[in-house]
Amino acid sequence: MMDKHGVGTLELMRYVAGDLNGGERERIERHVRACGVCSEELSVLRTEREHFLKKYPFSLMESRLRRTAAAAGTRPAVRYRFAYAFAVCCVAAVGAVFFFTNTRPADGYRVKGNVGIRILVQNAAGGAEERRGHVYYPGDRIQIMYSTARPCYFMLASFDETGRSTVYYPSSGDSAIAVRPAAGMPLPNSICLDDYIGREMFVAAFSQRPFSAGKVAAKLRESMSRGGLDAIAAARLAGMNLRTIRITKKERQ
Amino acid sequence: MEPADMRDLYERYGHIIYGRCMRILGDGHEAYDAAQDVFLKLCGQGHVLRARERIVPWIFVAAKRHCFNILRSRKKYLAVENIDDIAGSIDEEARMDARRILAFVLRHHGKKVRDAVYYSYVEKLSQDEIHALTGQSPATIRRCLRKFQRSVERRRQRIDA
Repeated sequence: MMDKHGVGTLELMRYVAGDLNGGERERIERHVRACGVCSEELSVLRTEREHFLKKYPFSLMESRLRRTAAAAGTRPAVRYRFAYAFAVCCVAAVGAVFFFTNTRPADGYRVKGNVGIRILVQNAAGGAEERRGHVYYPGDRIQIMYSTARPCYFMLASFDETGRSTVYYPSSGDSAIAVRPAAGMPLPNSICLDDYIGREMFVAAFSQRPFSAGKVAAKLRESMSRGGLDAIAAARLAGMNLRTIRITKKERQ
Repeated sequence: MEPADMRDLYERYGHIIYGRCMRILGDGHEAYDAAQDVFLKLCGQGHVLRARERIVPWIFVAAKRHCFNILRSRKKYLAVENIDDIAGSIDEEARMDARRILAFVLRHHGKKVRDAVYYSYVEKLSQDEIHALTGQSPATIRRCLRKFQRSVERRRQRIDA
């Protein structure tokens, strides 16, 4: 145990291992010559070392080293493993960010985040159908249907490529309309499409709080002025769920 | 590292590593396996090998950590030893068995007490040496040892009751 007399077990071990410099070595040797306890401990340490090397020679360790070297050849060093793991995490994080910010769902009826809109158009027989590819003609009467899992506030507007925008709901005033939970609920009144030919986008905004439809439409117009209809589809407004449907209007043949 | 350097390192320090592992694990083969693991780690510690005075302290800390992990993962002592029997025998100097102490301290105490008890009772190092290895002050070491002794005492009283 002890260094009550100035020499400890660790020092004796270092002495046996040959770690000590000249001065330290002399001090230990002087002390050991005078101290029976340390002399005995030193001889025990030397004996332990001899027995160990006899029982477990370095050749035993060599076979282990060979196995380790072989394994190291097929497996990257620990620090590289961390580097690889870090790189994989970075790629996954970038991929996730890219996926969630740039993936635009297909046009049409969709419910994401428990809200969505759908367009039905009146066919020649007077019934309602979903138009493939969202291609419409001037004069078509369309019916917008919404879905929401919770009561919320809602507005619907359309934007065309010329920069013109129309707010359909609320049909009067500036406050978004309150809607109840529903799936595929038709909005009051159908919409008769005008003579504009080209691409157009219907945008529905859902929010848990009342909001000004005029301000939201202004923000969307601002987005459109920067990047066209694609910018509206990619727009993010705080506290709002936006759903868009692109339609193409063609001349009737 | 060159094979010749490894051999030199092994011949100088192999027995120290093995001795530490043997005291904790108590089984020759298991201790040698653990000693090989610790030796391989030592071979990768360039900054330790460059300062010779740091090698032996490093071995004490690394071997203790490695072997404690083995004990924890195998739950060996806790499975085969009756903790109450251990508590009843710890105070008897003649029966103060290293593995019994470790079984008790691993089960009932945190790192500071574990280190203080291991280095004091098992390795029988002085408080200055423990301070050099763990960074704990002598006062902290004494406090940890008292805490350990009190817990053993409480356990014994519970058995007696």
